[in-house]
Amino acid sequence: MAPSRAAAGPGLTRRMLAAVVLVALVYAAAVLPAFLAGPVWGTAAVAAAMVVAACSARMADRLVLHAMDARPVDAAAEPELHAVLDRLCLSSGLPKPRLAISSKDVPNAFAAGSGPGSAVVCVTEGLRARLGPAELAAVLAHETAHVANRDVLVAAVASFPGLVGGLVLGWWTGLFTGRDRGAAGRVAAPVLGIVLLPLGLAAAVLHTAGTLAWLALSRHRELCADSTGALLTGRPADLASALAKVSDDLRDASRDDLRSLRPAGARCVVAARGDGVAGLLSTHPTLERRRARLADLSWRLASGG
Amino acid sequence: MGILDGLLGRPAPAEPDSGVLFALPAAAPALEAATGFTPTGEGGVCHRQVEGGAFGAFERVQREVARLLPGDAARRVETSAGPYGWGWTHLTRPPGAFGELVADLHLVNATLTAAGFGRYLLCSVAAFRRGADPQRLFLVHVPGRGAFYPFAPRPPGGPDPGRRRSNLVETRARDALAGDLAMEPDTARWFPLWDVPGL
Repeated sequence: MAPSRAAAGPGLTRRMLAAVVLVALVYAAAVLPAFLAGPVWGTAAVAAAMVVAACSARMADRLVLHAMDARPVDAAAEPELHAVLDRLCLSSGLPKPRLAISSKDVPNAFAAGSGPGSAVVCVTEGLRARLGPAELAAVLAHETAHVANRDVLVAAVASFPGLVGGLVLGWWTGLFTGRDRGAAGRVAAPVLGIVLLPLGLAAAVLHTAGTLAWLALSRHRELCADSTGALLTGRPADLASALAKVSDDLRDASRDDLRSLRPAGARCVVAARGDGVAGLLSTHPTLERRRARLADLSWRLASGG
Repeated sequence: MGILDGLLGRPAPAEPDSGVLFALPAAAPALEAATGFTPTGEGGVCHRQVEGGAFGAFERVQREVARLLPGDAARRVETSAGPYGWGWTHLTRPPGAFGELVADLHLVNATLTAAGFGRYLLCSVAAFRRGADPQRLFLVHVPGRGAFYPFAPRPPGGPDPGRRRSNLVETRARDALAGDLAMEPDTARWFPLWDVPGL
């Protein structure tokens, strides 16, 4: 009996692999000049870019925890939450992640750390105030599933080309709009910009394609973490009701509250901008889609695996 | 859990192995000889309260366990559930009947595993005490790891309040049992269980 494999589902795995291929294509396109020099050089360039992305994830972790005003808490300060994490580690076999509490009033939770060994799971005060114990356990299980799936690392590697493309694009447009230059620079910069037009176009394409591929992958990782987390606790309905509560509260939250979540945005259990422009531009699947999957799991558990 | 499974979002469940529980009665004399701790006859199995309602598959298995383990003069069976979604099956036998207690623990494990709920088993616990000493020792078996670890909460009313564990008792128990049982080598995985039956 292997309910977890059945839960992720072959369909979901296949679509996620498609998103992985998209990300790989973006990488290949980004280092196209190296591929022109030879396939070995191209592969080496892709590997180097991925390593840089992974390193940047390590540094970003500390920034995220700092920006979210998260303080680590030990078992004496938070016995209940630590007991929940202990039980999750008993069933998942993971080493115990550290626990941090953010003083923000917005209800949310996120995981930081690029591997199970160095992971931190953070919940906000707002989340603890609004959710019941079983729902809190379900959210922690969702975050533990992210840790098990190494989603922080996956997201860092997947979002890197889009990020770099965006940076280059920003610099290139800055050549035309920049004001903080001397007279000579003001003439030279637009000329340089016109000369570098192909670079700017490439950056724009890379930024767009890279971001879309990353978002597609991110949505699938969320669905995976939902299933894995729900199967760790055996209670998908708790996660579904927690997601509904958090989404409701985020819809009512003030603009300032939402802004304060931005540093951890893509990592949160529920995205700050849930019903955005369209499904394509969101890091998280829609609430309806997540709840439908969880209801499916509930039904399967109730009827015996 | 393999790295690839993690990256593909499908962590593999560890196969529960409750058969090693039967090594406990044989190891108890070694524990008593080295540390003086003897079984109290109390034990329990911690498991997830899998949802599904009164007519769900999990409730059916629980009724099956209750049917297989009826309470009588020689055995008391209780269940409890916590707010965070896990529960205990408490088992009490006379202190002399340690082998029977272990057989009961195994029966609960085996019944849940056979019904497909093996991955929702968290641990099985047997309690030990030393004469009239309020200090308790619990041997915890984690099915996913197939290993045992000791848990020795300090008795309440000591010099320092709060939840403290006795490292000395735990380390001695580990050393005494290392020859007979597979003990968990990573002490970071000796998770405390403050709601354990018999505490």
